[in-house]
Amino acid sequence: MLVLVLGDLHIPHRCSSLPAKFKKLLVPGRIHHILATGNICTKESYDYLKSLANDVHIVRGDFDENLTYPEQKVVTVGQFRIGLCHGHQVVPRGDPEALALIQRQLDVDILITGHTYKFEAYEHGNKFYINPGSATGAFNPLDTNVVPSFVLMDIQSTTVVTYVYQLIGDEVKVERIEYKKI
Amino acid sequence: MTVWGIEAITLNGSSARESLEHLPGNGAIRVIPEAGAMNSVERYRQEWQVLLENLDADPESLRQSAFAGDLKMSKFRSVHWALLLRVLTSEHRSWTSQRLQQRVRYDKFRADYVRNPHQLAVDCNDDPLSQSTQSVWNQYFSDQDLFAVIRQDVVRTFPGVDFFRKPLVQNAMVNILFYYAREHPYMCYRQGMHEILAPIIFVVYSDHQSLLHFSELAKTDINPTLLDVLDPAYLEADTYSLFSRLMASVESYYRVSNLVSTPGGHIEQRAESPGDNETSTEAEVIGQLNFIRDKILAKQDQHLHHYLQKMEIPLHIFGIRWLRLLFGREFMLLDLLLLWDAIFADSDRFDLPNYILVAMLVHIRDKLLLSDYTTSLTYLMRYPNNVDVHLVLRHALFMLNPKQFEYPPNAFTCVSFANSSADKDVPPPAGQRPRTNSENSSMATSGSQIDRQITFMQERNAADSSALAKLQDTHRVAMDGYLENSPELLRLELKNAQTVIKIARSKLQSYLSTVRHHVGKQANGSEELGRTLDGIEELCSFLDVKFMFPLHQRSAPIDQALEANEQKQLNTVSKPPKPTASSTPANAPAALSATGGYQMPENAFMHSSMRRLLGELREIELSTITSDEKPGNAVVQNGLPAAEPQQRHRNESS
Repeated sequence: MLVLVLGDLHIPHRCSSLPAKFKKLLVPGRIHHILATGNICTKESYDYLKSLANDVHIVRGDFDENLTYPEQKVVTVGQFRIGLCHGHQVVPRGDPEALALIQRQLDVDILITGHTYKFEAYEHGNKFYINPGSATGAFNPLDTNVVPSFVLMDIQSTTVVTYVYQLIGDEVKVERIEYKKI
Repeated sequence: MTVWGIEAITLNGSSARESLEHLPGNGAIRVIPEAGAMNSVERYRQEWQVLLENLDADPESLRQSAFAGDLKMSKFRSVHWALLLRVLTSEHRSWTSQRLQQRVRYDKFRADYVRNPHQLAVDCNDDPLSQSTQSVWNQYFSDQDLFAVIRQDVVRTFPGVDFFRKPLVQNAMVNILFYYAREHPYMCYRQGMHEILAPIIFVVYSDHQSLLHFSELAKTDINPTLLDVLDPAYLEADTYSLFSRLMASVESYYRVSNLVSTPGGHIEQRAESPGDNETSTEAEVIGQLNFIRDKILAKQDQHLHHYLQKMEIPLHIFGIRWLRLLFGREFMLLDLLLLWDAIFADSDRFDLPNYILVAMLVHIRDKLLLSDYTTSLTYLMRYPNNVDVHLVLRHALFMLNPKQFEYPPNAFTCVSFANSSADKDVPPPAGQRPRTNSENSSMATSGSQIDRQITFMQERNAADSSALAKLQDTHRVAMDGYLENSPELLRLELKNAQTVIKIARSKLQSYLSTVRHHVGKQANGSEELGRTLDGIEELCSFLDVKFMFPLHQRSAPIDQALEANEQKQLNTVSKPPKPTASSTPANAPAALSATGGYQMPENAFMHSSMRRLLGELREIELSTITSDEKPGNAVVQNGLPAAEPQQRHRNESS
């Protein structure tokens, strides 16, 4: 089944909306679950995600208005345990060892974090780490060129095929990464 | 159990014999069921053998048996249908290879049209959110939508038949309809196709079950071609062959013009919503229904054709559904199969459905012609279930080919009724009001009473006029209820005339009394004026002649009871002209004598005139004695009560 992973929208503080080309791709009826890494910020953005799929899981980012979102979350899809965390709590930010620490705490097969506004997907210690980046390409004081991106995971029994959608220039580029659970 | 019951009907009771076999009992009971089973096995084998022999001898004889309804009890109906629709050729030795070819093609559908991108090594350019028409993911999601649409229709197929509630049957139907939609993108899936598929899979499944029962009973010596042709493992493939061939014949019923077919087929499926297309574009089936109405129905039944046009009931209100489902909702399932036998026997031209539609209309023509718009639509939308399907079929076959098929003897006889409305009996006018004799009241009434009476008479006259007008209106509508010299009409006219005369007499009397009153006041009336007033009084008496008749009738009983003196008085009354004539000179001398009486004591010249007056007085006395009754009336009528005491005074002085 298809799982959409995105976050760090910062609507309306830093961006007005998702890129039009991303919106065109995200049609209802295809995606079954949504995992949001945080900084969704407003209820309207949450409602938009709800219109794409019924099952929406969100963790709290450093700019979220809704204080009831949890800091961390573990979701089981198929045979995979997926951990969800925004990442602003991680010091140093985006460090693989620090993320591995959280992965061990949550005891998950896939750890999904955000906050860096940069897509990353790698395997480390037989575990899978995904950072979908910022779906809107929101402003980041540490990076002058933010590429909007999100991730779509096609999860079968023991295989995850990850599609990365990046808006480079005016075109949507799709990458395919496959990960098998041992 | 209902499902088994349906199959038992199809299997012609062999299941009953099988159940007997399982009963415990002595050897005698067991022998008899076995004999019955052997007979059933032999009949089954013989039917197959006869079928093959007929194909070798005369392949077209199958069509005659289908037209005649002989396939009703056949165990090989699906084979007959395959032959009639040319899914299988009449060369039965090549049936195995033909079936193999069809089944391989069906299996290829599964590989071509059911592609799960989750499990495939898809192209590196494809992704789950792709919108491209070449995308496997995009096709996959469209197929999911199509499956959902088909399944929700299949679940509602033939609600009353439990056979179609089986998961095996439902899954097979969903797959067949899906593959057909993908194989024919220009058609896609349209609602109603599941009702075309349902009887086919029912027949194929029944034949497979018959073969299974036969195999259990026979155990050996089964024709290998038979085993292959009716292999239950290929239920879907064999049903699909029949279904796609039938859809090729009826696709004109489903096709909608102005639609562009796309290679994928799924985009068109989304763009086509049946409601929108039906209203905006002209479906080909409507043209065919217009052809049926103008070319076939108008020739067969002019009255019914005219009736449907007058009622503004277009054929496509009900005809689209009748044709698209091949009358699947109008008849019971087993009766429907009889119709389809004949329709498939004519499968090269496929004209029979047109004539079946007309035959169905003709067979409910009595109900339609005697119904209003709403009831007619009810009959057409829910066809009566008591119509004999055999009769409809034979009538349709006769219309299709009059030379080959004879006219059904007990078919509908067309009788035209005269277009005449029922004659209405107009009730005669209400009984006449009792006539009130108002003569006494008119003589004694004052001016106001006379006016009130005149108003009453005028109102009655108006009522009589309206009654007369109604009578004349009735005359225009109902010829048979009127006579030229009707007594009622004459009585009404006479009554009207009497009313006019009565009013005229009352008015004349009123005017006469007024004029005489004024003449008396002036005291210088001339003889001419007096004669004029007397003439008016005569006219009043003339107008009163008709009203004398009731008086005469009333006086009849008085005659019987009167005494001698009163009879004389009656004789006097019976001569009205004489008192009138004698009263005329009496009044004038009375007036003169009154004038002379006032001047007599003053001078001697009046003595000579007094002698003349005395002489005249004698004459007056004589006439008074002869008309004793009338002077009272005269005094009252003249309005001169003072004259009488003067006469008495003169008598005393003399």
